[in-house]
Amino acid sequence: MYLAALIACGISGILILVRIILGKTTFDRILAINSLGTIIVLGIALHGFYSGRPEFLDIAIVYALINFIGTIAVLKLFSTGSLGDIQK
Amino acid sequence: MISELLINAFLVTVMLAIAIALLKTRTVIFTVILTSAYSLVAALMFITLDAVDVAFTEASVGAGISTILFLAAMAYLPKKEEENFSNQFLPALSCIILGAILIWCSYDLPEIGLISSPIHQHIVPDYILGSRNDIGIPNIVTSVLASYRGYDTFGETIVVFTAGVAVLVLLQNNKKNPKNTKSKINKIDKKVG
Repeated sequence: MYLAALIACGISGILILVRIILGKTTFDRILAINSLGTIIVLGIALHGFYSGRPEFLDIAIVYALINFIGTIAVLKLFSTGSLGDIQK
Repeated sequence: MISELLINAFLVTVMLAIAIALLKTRTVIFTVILTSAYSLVAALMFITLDAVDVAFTEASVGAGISTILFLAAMAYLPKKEEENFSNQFLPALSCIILGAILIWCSYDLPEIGLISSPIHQHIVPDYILGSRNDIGIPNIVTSVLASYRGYDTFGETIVVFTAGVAVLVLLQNNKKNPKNTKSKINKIDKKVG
């Protein structure tokens, strides 16, 4: 069952990768990278349960947090043109 | 076993696709985003190789902090990379030769997880057997870092601390009196001129 879910994750990862590479606008690509991060969080959790060692679930949590922070940073850069330092 | 192989092959293919997309793109922000995606997949690869601590570092530093640092630096850069097709033959040739040498060398590496490989035989058994009695904490990695190789860790900490202090001193001096540095530059200009 975990293997089936892993395969599903892999297929959706490939679809997202196609969107990243072909993506029409930059925002499509940012959204796609964010979704790829979510898929990878799922993949880590599923791989942990599949290989019988679910103790590594905290890495998935770190991923989720980092993914969120990265997306926020990119979007902030787009909307303000800087990351909070003083513009000259 | 075969499923592990399939997962690894899939991850390497995804990383290769991202790397090719990185080569093709000319927008700077997209390069940064793709690098972040690359290190996300690389960290998943480290997890399947059972190197969880490396995966942790790759996720937090490679995908998180360095992306944000690149973005902050990118605010000062032009939006597009300039195309440059002049004389790419020699760099490509040297890259291919280096890659071929590395692949050739990798045939001499011991198999992953092989217990008779030198790295598992030299001093690691002593650490694993003695950790509980010598140090008295259950986590072997912590006891190696903080006690068996305590001086190494101490030196590393000093180096990182010194670098941090140096950066702080440089930035603070610049921020406090920007006029001062400007007049200094003018003086130097006058001296040179």
